[in-house]
Amino acid sequence: MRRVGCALLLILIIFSLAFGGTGDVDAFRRLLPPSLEFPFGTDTMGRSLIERTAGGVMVSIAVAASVTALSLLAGIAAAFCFSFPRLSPVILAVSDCLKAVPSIILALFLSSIAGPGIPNLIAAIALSHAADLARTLYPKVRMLQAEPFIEAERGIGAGRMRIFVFHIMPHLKPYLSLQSVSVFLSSVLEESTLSFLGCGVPVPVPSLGSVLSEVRPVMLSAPWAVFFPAAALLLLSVSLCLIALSLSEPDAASE
Amino acid sequence: MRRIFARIASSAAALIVLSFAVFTLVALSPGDSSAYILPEDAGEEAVEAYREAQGLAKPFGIRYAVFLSSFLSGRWGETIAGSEVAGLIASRVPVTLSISLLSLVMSLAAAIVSSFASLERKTPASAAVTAFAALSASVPLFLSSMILILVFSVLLRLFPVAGYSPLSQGIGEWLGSIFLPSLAMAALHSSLFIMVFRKALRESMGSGYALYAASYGMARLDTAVHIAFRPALPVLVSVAAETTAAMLGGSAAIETVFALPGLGSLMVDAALSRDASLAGILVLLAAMATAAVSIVSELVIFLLDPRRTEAV
Repeated sequence: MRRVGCALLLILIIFSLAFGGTGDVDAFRRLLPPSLEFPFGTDTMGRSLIERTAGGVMVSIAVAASVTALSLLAGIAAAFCFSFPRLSPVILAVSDCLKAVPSIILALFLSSIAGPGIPNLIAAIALSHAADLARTLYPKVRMLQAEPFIEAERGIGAGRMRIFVFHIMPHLKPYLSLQSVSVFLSSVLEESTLSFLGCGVPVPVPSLGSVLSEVRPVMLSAPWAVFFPAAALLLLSVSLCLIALSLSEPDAASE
Repeated sequence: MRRIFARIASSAAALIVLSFAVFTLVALSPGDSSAYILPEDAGEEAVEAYREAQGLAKPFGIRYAVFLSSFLSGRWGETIAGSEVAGLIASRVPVTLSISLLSLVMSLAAAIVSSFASLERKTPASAAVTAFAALSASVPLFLSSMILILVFSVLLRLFPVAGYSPLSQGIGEWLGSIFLPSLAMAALHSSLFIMVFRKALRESMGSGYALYAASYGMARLDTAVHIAFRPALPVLVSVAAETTAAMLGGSAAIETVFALPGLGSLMVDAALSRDASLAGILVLLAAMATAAVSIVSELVIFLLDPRRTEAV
């Protein structure tokens, strides 16, 4: 299952590196059906859809990877701060506030202030994931800190940093690796949704969401224009979902 | 009960912090309303006079106090386009509420039915339900909505393509206009419901009281329905509460695709027209709704299982 997921993901990455681009606007070749020259056809502005789709896959993966890296770093930093009893309530309060707002709504709010743009998009999506991670890591870290082996380390005079890096982190690793895949998956979904709504990537940049929103009005007259980017988005999320599933439930994966 | 009061207090504190953060962000957003209310060639003095009259020149703390008090008393001002925010929001609530409630019912039904149907591990039914749950969780809402419109509205012509008919126009019309959006929402969220509830039901089936019932010769399904069902319910309630927040977010995509005038599409409009103060009010309302739902869910869990003291 994990192999299938990784293979699909690899194929998508190769596809995006091979064909990715923003596509050239050409009013004389609008909405051409798939042909040898344009394997996925062209969109309403005459841009080659294979370039836009592949470019969209690349943008989605790049945005999701940055979101994952950012929120994992923030989550780990928060987990370290839980070693300080005075800092923990502050971090918990902040993440509770962030968690109270649905992530898409939070991202839309930030985009109403800062406008569309890839750094804003990444920050907006990462913010709620980081809050989520901090909230779920807290009980785990607290439980570990009460363990005798941590007590023993403290007894022989190990510093907070040493205890965190060598004794707490290894226990958080399995959870964090599962979370990294599921954060990746949900940021792909959120990025494409925000771009679909017009509050994600700025206009010329292709994203699977923005490509789909551009071709939605011609959904019935030019179904191929919707089919290929939609299929790419589905393949991307299904491959990530397979990887996440294989990490999370060993018995479900073997079914 | 004391825990519930503590929850209310901490939620209120979180909301106040959040309101300050929202106000700061809105106040920091580049330019203020003088930029689009006044004509472009308005002089420095006109801008100053306008800012004075609107209270924009006052100190930050006082502006926050004014913002908070007017927010709490329901005076939410006007949008950039000039319509009354409070009335606008009130007219949009029924749409989002209908979709959320119907999809909540659908998700609960899907979770309960499919969990009973796939109670045994390592059976084809169990694998099929797992696969459905995994797949439905990985399709973004706007895409599943487009697919549903294509299949049910365009090809089969069963439902209207888009638009909302209020309940006053007849229950059939109303149900027809919100059925597909709710189905799209439920398809996404039922996956979490199914996975969590099935796990809880299986755990409950493995517990002492279920084994005891089985040893008396109670049929497996009977045990599941009469003995194991209720102990597994609290976890379903807490998932429902968590999902409500996600549904508010999901309504942004769904209402845009189905062209429904709800809160989600209002939020998208606010973001696209860079109306930070409208967006800020919606954020605060969403946070208040989320907090209220989670407090109610704790109450329900407490009623289902009064022994419980820890959060699920």
